[in-house]
Amino acid sequence: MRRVRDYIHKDLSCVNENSSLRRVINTMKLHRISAIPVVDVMGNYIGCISEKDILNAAVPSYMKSIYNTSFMAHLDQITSNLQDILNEKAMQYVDNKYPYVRPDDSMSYAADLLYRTKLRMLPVLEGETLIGLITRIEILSASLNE
Amino acid sequence: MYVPINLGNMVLTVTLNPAIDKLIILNRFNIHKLHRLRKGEMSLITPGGKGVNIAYTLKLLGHDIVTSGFAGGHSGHMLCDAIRQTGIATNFIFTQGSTRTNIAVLNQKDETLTEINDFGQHVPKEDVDFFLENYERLLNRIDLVVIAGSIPLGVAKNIYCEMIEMAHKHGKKTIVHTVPQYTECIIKASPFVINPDMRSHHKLFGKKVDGIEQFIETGRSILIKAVKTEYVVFTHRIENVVAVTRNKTYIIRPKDLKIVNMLGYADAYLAGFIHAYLQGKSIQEMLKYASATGLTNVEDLYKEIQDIKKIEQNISRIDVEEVV
Repeated sequence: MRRVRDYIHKDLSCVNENSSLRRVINTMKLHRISAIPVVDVMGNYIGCISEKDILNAAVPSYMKSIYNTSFMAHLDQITSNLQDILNEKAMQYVDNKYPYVRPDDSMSYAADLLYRTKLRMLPVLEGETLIGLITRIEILSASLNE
Repeated sequence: MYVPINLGNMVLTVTLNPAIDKLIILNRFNIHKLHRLRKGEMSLITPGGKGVNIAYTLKLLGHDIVTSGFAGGHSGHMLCDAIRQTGIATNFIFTQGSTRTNIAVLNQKDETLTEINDFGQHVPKEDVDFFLENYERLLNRIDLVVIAGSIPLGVAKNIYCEMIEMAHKHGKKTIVHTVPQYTECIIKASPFVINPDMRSHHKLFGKKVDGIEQFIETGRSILIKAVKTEYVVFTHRIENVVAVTRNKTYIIRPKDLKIVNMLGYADAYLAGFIHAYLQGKSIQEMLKYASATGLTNVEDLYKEIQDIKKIEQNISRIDVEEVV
């Protein structure tokens, strides 16, 4: 059976619970990733923040309830809201129910989780410690070299 | 492919100013001429920077490694991808600038090595703060810290001191390999091992330091000032490596040295030193193993050791002399 431990993308990039959203967005941009793990001072995993979580915080609730917002094409409210929350802490926006996998989990389980949740990456945890990531491409390329 | 055995120690190597190393191996090299590579010549691109090179060899020797520092741009991604392919975990802080490219030209006919090292990226203060926050967190999960190489533009000269003190607070030993100007700064922080990189500057504390006598004298004076330091090692002269400890001084000499490529020698030496230390070898065995690792590295064309079995074979070629 193909296990997660043999395919981990060993990138430990993460942000601190006290990092600002400015830092979170900048890190995601420079690392070219759509979600990033958040850890506490000891390095224990708390959850992840995705681009979607940040956008969700910036979209006003009235806009979420409107079926079509095309008539508001000239409004700049979301980017302006984003500007307002840049100095807020990552902790406020972290998704602590973001799914994760363990090194002993099967790659099929990780693949299924990514497929069902439509996420692009899953953190890999050993105990409470982040040891890397599994992304869609690790799943797709798992059988390439066999 | 060689699969390393995990020895259970997690080592953190820090390279604040890593690089993409481009090594061009030519049969003949002339300035003011167009060179097109021919059969028997080659161009190699590998991830580089001292801490990265040390991480490579340590991984080959079976250690669990995480490597950190600053990276950026397309070359930064290239660097991290190449490092991860070897099984090393990366935790680089990406900045707006790009990771530098260092160029080395090895002229096989004349046996000359010409190196051009770029400045590297400029690192803003907020990225330095983020790096230190990240570094302190990593200290919770590692056993030993190796800090090696130059300090990028924008970063305060005393950052190594700060990093050593943070490691000490977490009860972690540090090994530092850097140029004299930074070596002088780190003495008060007193790392476990000080290995000055004397390749381009032969001066420490304003005095010329070259040759056995001066290495010994300087090593002893460093140990007086750096109260927690256990080893000062001068690897610059491969034929006479000098290691000064609190009790004894050693001169380590390889026999029948056949240098092919000096690139990465000191990094390989230090990786061998760390491996032997983590395995609990005696001082003399440790120094022999370190020199055998350096020797194996310089007798091969490539920057990294290709066959680690050669290290054990080369141990018998190392003489250690104890100096009173």
